[in-house]
Amino acid sequence: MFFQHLTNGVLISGIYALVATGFTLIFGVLAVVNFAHGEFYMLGAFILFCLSQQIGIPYFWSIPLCIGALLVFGVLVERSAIRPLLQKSFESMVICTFAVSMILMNGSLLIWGAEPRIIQSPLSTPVSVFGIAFTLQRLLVLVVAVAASIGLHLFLYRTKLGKAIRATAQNKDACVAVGIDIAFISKFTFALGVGLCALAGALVAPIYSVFPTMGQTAIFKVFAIVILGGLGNIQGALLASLILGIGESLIAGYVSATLKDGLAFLLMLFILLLRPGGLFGKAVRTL
Amino acid sequence: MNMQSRTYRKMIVALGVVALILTAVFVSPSVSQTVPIKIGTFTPLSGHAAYYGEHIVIGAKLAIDEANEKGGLLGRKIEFITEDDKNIPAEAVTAAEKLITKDQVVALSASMGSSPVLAVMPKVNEAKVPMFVQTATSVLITQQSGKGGNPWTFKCNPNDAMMLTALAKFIVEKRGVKSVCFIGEDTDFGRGIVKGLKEWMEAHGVKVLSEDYVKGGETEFTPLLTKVKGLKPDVLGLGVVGPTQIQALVKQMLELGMKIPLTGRYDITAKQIADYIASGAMEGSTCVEPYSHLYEGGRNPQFVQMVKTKLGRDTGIYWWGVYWSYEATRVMLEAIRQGGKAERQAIRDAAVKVEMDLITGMKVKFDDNNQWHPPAFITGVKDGKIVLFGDVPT
Repeated sequence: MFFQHLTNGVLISGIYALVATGFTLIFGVLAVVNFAHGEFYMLGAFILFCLSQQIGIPYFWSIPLCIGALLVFGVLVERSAIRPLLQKSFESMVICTFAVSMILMNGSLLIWGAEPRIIQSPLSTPVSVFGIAFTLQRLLVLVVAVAASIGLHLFLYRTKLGKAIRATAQNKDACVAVGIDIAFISKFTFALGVGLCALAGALVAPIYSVFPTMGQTAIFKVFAIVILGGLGNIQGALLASLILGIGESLIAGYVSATLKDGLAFLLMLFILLLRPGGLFGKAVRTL
Repeated sequence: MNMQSRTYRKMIVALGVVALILTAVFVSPSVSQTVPIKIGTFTPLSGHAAYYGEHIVIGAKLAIDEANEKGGLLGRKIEFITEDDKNIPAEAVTAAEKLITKDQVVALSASMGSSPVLAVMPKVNEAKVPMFVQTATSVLITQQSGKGGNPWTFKCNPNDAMMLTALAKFIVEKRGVKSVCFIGEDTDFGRGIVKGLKEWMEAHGVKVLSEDYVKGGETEFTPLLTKVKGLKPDVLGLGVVGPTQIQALVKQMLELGMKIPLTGRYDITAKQIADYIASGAMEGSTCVEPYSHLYEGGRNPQFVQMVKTKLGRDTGIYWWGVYWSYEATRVMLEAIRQGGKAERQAIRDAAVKVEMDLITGMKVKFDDNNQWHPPAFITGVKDGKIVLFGDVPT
């Protein structure tokens, strides 16, 4: 049973990592703690539901369409809600993203209703390897989470645009001085973060079900993960997801499921006390 | 001339006073008759339990529309006000407070979950507002209501203890269950279910192999199911209510290659698990319900048809919610009618004495704990279909 628990934990960590990547990217570059992140994830799942279950587009073809739709939506939200507040206080942005979250969640409730929807994926069939059971869909989520994390790292460190994004995260004024288009970077990063959310929503949706409050369930754990890994640190988020996924699985399996959710917040508390920048993070708000 | 004009003026004043009195006597009642009687409910309209709240509102509206179509009550129409409590106790208290003080409702029907209802009970006691509980099943509500407790709370549906003893008896005696694992929501509801089943089963020699609780709305059961798989129980006892949860649980059981019959309280009629039931994955599962749409006694077939027509669908209906909200609203309206006044005290006093003819054909009256004793229904999966094994008295 131990190896089954371990496998469960690793596979669950893939789900956590995929949802956390976009969140930590938006925070790292824009210094925006995006409370609407969970709702973008939910929206990704609902759009995929419409495309694959209602319109009838095959599941794997629906994924890029879903990401495309959310990228456009991300640009619109960035232009209308995020950019006007980028120069304002940190608190204004928190309230703004919280408002976006409420609008999206309740809007979805109005459009799709509260009934949970099911998405069928061709990879949902269970498989068993050496007595360890899992589904290929969960494995796919893990592979994509690792690939997205590595891809994003390479993009940020090896490409010109990636470097511009990192430069913007470090010093906006200096970027303006050397001619980096800050408005474009802001738009691009936000849309990329939302696109990653859509990818997460589209891949995770067949594992659970799709309902308007699914983002809320995800977001709190994502907060804990990005704090553990260090806000803005993509590799940190991946490692924190792995620690949390395996830790939770073993605690629920061998100790008590009631303590499972406590682990994320207990670790978060210790990290905030001992290493406020996270396992790999750096100080983000200095006086 | 002066004298005459003064007398004339006095006459006009006197006439004016008489006219005012006459207006007060004859016109006011007709004005008050046009003012609707306000009743309200607090229920989850957003959050993870919104699906249930929607059905609870539908059930209440069915009863209110019926009454309004017949001309209302005491010559007045009934106005129904809903407030969202997100199935969170603190939100429920705020919602109830608004209904009681701002909207001035004469009676309330209470939320979907037990925890919100238990949180609001002191409030209705303090404000002296009758509250009719439709779907919440915690035994604590019954224990704290009626004589010696909260005289303003009336519990219409059967509570967990009443239903679970019947279920435990059924699975142990008819199915020969000897060992069980439990998974419940970490709420008054979930813990109540597990406690209710566990007490009876342990007392009758059934081995309890594990007992675990998950947060409300949890959809990741894999770690717990892996543990259950290793323990190999005869049945898995559940106290999880949402279709999201039960769908995730059954799906993850299949992913782990598990085939253990389920029992306890969960939404067996949820559309999301219909395919699993049909495929045989849930064969042998049982559950106890405070209502079954499969029951053919009383006026139930007509009621089921009415709900299906109203909703325009056959599946995806939270039957207990619609039914118990309908019955709780009916008794509330009947208490207003029998009390003869749309006033809180009169409604409470009448509710204690009201005898109701339930849709399921049984006559019920509140006991000393303000609890009705309607039948509970044991349903389960047989040959890929949901079947009713029988109704049991509570």
